[in-house]
This record gives sequence, structure tokens and C-alpha cells, in this order.
Amino acid sequence: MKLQLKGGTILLVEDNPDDVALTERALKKARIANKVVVARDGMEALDFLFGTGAWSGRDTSDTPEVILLDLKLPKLDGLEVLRRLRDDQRTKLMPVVVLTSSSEDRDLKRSYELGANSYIRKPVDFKQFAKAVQDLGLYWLVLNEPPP
Amino acid sequence: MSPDLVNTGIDVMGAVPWGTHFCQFYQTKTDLLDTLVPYFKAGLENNEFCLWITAEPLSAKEARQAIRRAMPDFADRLAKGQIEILPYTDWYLKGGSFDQQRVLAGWVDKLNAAFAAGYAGLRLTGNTFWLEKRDWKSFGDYEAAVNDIIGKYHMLALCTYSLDKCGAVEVIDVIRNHEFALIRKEGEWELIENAIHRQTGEAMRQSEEKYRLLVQNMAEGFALYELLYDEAGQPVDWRILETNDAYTHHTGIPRKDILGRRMGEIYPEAVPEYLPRFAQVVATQRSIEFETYSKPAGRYLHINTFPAGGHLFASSIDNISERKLIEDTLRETRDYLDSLLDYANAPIVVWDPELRITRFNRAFQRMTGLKQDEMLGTQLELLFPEKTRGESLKQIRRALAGERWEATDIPVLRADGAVRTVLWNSATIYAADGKRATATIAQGQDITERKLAEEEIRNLNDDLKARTEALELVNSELQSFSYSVSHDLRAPLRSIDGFSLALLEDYADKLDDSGKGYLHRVRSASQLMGRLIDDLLELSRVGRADMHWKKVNLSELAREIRGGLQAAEPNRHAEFIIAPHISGYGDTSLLRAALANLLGNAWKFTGKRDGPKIEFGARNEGGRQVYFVKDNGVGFDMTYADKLFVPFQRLHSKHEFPGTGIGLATIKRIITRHGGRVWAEGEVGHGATFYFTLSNHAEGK
Repeated sequence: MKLQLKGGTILLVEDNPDDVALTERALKKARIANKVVVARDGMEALDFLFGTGAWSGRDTSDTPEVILLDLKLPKLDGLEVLRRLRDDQRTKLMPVVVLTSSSEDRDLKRSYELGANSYIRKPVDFKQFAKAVQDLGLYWLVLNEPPP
Repeated sequence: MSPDLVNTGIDVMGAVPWGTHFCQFYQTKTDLLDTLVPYFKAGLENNEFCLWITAEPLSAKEARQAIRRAMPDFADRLAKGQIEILPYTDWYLKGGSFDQQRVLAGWVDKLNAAFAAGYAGLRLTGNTFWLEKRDWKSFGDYEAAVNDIIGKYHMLALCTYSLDKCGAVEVIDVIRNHEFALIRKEGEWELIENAIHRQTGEAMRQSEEKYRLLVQNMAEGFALYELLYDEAGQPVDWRILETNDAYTHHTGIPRKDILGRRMGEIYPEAVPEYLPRFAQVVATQRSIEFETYSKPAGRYLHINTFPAGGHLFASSIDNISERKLIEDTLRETRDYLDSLLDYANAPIVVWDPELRITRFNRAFQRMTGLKQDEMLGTQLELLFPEKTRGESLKQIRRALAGERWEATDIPVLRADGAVRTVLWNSATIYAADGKRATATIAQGQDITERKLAEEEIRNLNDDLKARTEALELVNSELQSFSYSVSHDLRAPLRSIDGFSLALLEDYADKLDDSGKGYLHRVRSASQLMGRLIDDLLELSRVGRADMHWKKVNLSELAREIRGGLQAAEPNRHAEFIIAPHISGYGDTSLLRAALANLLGNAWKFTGKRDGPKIEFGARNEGGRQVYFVKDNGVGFDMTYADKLFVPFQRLHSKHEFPGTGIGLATIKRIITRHGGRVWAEGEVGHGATFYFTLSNHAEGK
């Protein structure tokens, strides 16, 4: 099956370098070649999205195809990042997939309440994780029609 | 009360009423003998006691000789003591001088002795020859007093005065003090009636008539009696001489039935009862009062008995049955209230407006250890411990001012110094005017123990609160801990597994089979740890999760779980027997987790045999629903049954049956949270049965 992928950026908000490496590998394995921008904490993610701080001057009209958002982050946690995204007109409709180790019900519930589009629990078994990332890419980068 | 007449023996006088006091003026011895001999002769013949006081010119001896000549049996009478003839010196001047009181008392003594000896009366004569002129005035007083006494008794007195010794003034005095005077005129005795006495007599008759009317018409019953004696002079009975209408009214005894009759004939049983009292009245001449239940009358009577002269006595009688009835009712009421008060379980104390204790009951005595006889009349404040005394007295004064206490807390001091906390209710009792308080009655309830218990409960509550807070703190710490575990412990595992896989995939050509084998072991170990973490989190989650109680269809849950198990291993087949319509109260998701664990175990442990059979059902044991999951799997050794529900305890090797050893601990926690119990029965090779119960309360909690 030959998939035609959208060419936009994937914003990976993740502070754990192992997880970054593994996620990037999983994406590669799934033949998702989109550019991956990594933000190491919540502030950095917002800077990237709104062209502030280290990312000031960035063309914010170049929006990521999907944001993979970890919940447990330094400075600003994932749920707070999500809240601010949904509060802003520019990022309000941006697809956000919560990607986390947490299986706490309250995290899941809170994520959906704040407008997460998906919630993926990172399993220990990397094969399962790779499968999840592949499914994710398939959905968000191929099948999903982005908001106008 | 018409006094009978008595013969004087003196021709010109004839018969006179008892109580007549008269005099004779004489000049010679013959004058005296002319009157005194027939006077005493008549008296002796009339069974009277006679007392002859002689004076000059007649000696006692001459008097005796004269009367002996007139009476043949005189010697006998003298011998038996019916007559005494004494010189004036032995009578009036006994002790050397004239003492009016002594002489008067002497007459009465003689009279009583006469009655006691059974004589009909006392007849006497006195002589005043010895009297000096200067003594006339006081002797006049004496004669007047004699009049008073004689008038009341069966007594006859003749006083002889020497004309030679009396001047005109004295003669008038003597006549004034006597009813009659005998005087010899031209050789004949003549009787001079005292005009004053005549008038007085008339007045007396009139007053007597008035008195009779009064007695007849008065509201009080009246009866006149005569005491009767036997031959030995002992009182034996009495005769009813007169009664008034009120007597009939009060006693219910008709006058005609009793008038003139002896009590012994009418109501013999009354004689021994009342005779001693009546005899006493006559003997002492003093009145007595008593209350009695009169059997003949059938009523309670108040009787005032008084002497009426001689053997006579009278009673005024009041019917007090009604008063007695009221008194009895009052007494009964009082006794009833006393018992009520005394035997009441609640301590009761009563005090007067001056805050003096007037009584308290046994319960109060028990509570305080105080004795009523020591506390009566003492100040109420002694009951209160010093610390709260002022405040308590303030409250008590308010109660006296008309305020009622309802459940007022007033501490009370025990005799042994201990303080009891008492809850009081009070009521103030008012006088008939409805304004003046006469007493306050307070009823208490000893709440010392209750107070202590309350205090203890408060302390326990505080403790509990503190512990709950501590627990909440621990719980929230645990939550953040398990959050960290969930997140942070898994991350490195993921890296281990992820990079091991990366090695296996990306560098497969550089690793031999042994190296690949090691990496596979690394991966399965990290994955097992991942499951352990997940199971531990689940165990912690079921302990913390909010419970939503409702009726849960367990049969349906079991069917869903069966579906899941079959879907996960479509190639395995097992016979499921799920009893329909089994339900229980609890939290759906927790019960689902428990059932999933139980059925999952059964599924797992029947995996290696032919004809696996898994059963879910329930039975009633003593009104309690006991649920069970039964399988015919490998079973277990009952020796280890108590280890089953401890986390990480496994009875089978992981190689045989994989698992973390946390599932049954999770089940136990869920069932415990439902107020139930879980236990297991099994035998190696013959399957296992897990039983559980849920809270009996339909609504849980």
C-alpha cells in the first residue's frame, strides 16, 4: 500500500530523549518522513507554535500537521499546553494527540475535556508503541482532513 | 338539771336544794343544839357524810352526847366514819392560823372522800366563834367562795354565828353571804330569806332556762350524765340524764332510746372504753377532750367532757367524720405523694423561698450521699461546688421568681467531695394567692457519665478527624506516588525494551543467536515489570476509586467477560455455566474487575485440561447471598489457602501459569470495599471454587 503523506511538520513535545529517539525511530519505521520538531518542555512548544522566545520570528502560518504531546513535562505540563492551545484562535483546531505513560483515568478524562483529539498510552512493549505510532501517522497524516 | 331537794331536818326550813348555804344566829348552847342535832340526824339518815365543827359554847364532846341521845344507832355511824365532830381548832385553825385556800380545799377533799365512800353528799356545819372582828372582811370573802363551791356540789352547809359577837354591820354581811338565816324570835326559830339570794336564785333560774334553751339549740351535741358506782365505791357505769337535739343529730342516736338509761344497758361495749376517762373527770373535776370513733354512733366524734357537779358530768359532742374523712384523704394523698417522691428514680429536692432545703428523696440521697436528717433546714448552696455556686444560685433565684427551668445544667457536690453534673427541671409551688412562692421542687438527672461519654466521643472524634486528615494526606501522597510510578517507572522500561528491539531489528546481522536470546530475555523481563506496575496500579486504583452503588447484574457482567476471554483466545473452548439473574449491590466497574479476575483465573487454570468447565452462580446461606466461581482446573493445595489473597503470592510457577500474583489481592480489596468476604476452596487437580459475598445492606455503605 502506497500512502500519500501530507508534508507538514510533526511537533513532538517530549522531554525524555529516549522517548524522542524511540518515537523518531518508530516514525521512520512507519515510513513517516515528515519533519519532526522536538520541544523539550511546554514553554518551548508554545514558543514554537506562537513564534515567541527561541522561535520568535518563525512563520506561524506553517502549522504542524499534528502535535504529539507528552503530559509530564518540565516548566509547563502537557495539559496546560493543551489548554493554552485550545484558548488561542490560531491553534484552537490543531490536531493534538496526547502521548503519555500515564494510564490514570483523570489524565485521560482531563485531556479529552481540554480538546485532545487522541490519547495514546505509551506501552512498555515497543512493538505495540510502534504500531500505535504507525496507526497514528496513518490517521492524522493520511486520512484526516485538516480543518480549513 | 333540776337539783333534787334534800331534807335539812330543821322544821322551819324543810327540804332545800343541794348546794344550799345558810346560817344561824345563836346565843346559847341550847340554840345550837336545837338546830344542829336534827340537822345532822337527817343527814345521817339520808346517807350523807357529816362534818360538825364545834366552837364555844358547845364542845365536841357535848355535841356527840346530844346527838347520841337523839339517834339510837349513832354509835355505829360514828364508828364507820359517817360523821366527824371536830373542834374548830382542828379545822379552821389547823396549823395555827386561818388559811382560806386550805379550808376550802379541805371541804372539797371531804366531799370527794364522801363520794368515794359512796355517800350521797356532804353535810357540814361551821362555827365562827373564834373569829376576831378584824378578820370579818376576809372571812366574808371566804364565805362568798364557799357559796361558789357549795353551789356546785351535793353539799349542805350551815354556818353558826354568835349574836353576841356580831354588830349590825356583821349581821348584814353574814346574811348577805347566805341564802337563809335562822334566828330565834320570841322563842321560835324564824327563817330570813336573803333578798339578794332570792333575786339571784330567780336570775339563776332564768339564766338556767336560757342556758337550757341554748344547750338545746346549740349546734354542738350535749349530754349530761351521772356517774354510777358499785357498792365498793368504784365507778361502774353512767346514766344519760339529758341530751340535746344536736346530740341526736351528731351521733344518730335517738334521745328516747337512751334518756334515763345506763350506758351498760344500751351499749355495754362502750362502758370499758370510756369509763376510765369519765371517772377521771368526776374524780379530778377537770375537763378532758378526746377524739374517738364511736361504734354506737358509727362516726368519728370530738368529745369535750367536763364536770357538772357531784357525780354529774357532761359532754359536748361534735361529729368530725367529715373532717376525719378529709384528713384521711389528705393523709392518703400525702402518703401517696411521699411514696412517689421517695421511690422515684430521679433525684428530687425541695427548698423554701429562703433557699433552705425542706426535703429530698432517696434517689437524691443516693446521688449526693447526703442524709436528709442532716440536711433539712440547711442552706441550699451547700449542695453546690464552690466554683459554680454563684452561677447556680443565680439560676435558682430566677426559678423562685417564677421562671421554670427546663433541663438546666447545675453541678452538685457529693458528700465525698465529688462533683456530679445534673440536669434539672424545676417547678415553683405557690400559696393559695397564686403569687407568693412557698417551695421549689426540682427533679434532676445525673448526666455525669453521659457528659464524660460525650467528652470522650468528642475526643475520639477529634482523634478520628486528625487521623482522617493524616490518612487523606497519605492517600494524596500515595496518589502522586502511583502517578509517578505509572509515568516515571515505565519510561525507562520502555527505553530498555525499545532499544533492545532496535538492536534486534537494526543489528540483527551483527548478533549471534545467543546474543539475540539475551535481548529477548531483556525484553520479556522489562515487559513483565511493566505488567507488574500495571497490576500494582490497578490494585491501588481499586482501593481508591469512588464507589457508585447500584444494583449490578452480575450474570450479565460474567457473560461480557466470557466474551472477552473467548475473543482473546478464539481457539480455546471451555464450558461456561452462568446462572441467570444474579445481581448484587455495588460499584459496576469494580465488580467487573473482580469478576474478570476470577473468571480470568478460572480460564487460565483450566487451560491445560480436557473438558474445562467454568461456573458462575450464587446460593443463599443463612439469608446471605454467596456468589461463587467454580472451575475444574488444576486447583490448589488448601494448606496455602490463606496465602492466596496476599499480593505477589503465587501457588504455581510462572512457567506453568503466567501471572503477577496481584489479581486475587485486587479481588479481595474490591470485595472488602463492598463489605463482603472472599474465600476459596480447592484441591490439587480437582479445581477451585472462589466464594464471595457483598454487603447485606441493599444500599451498601
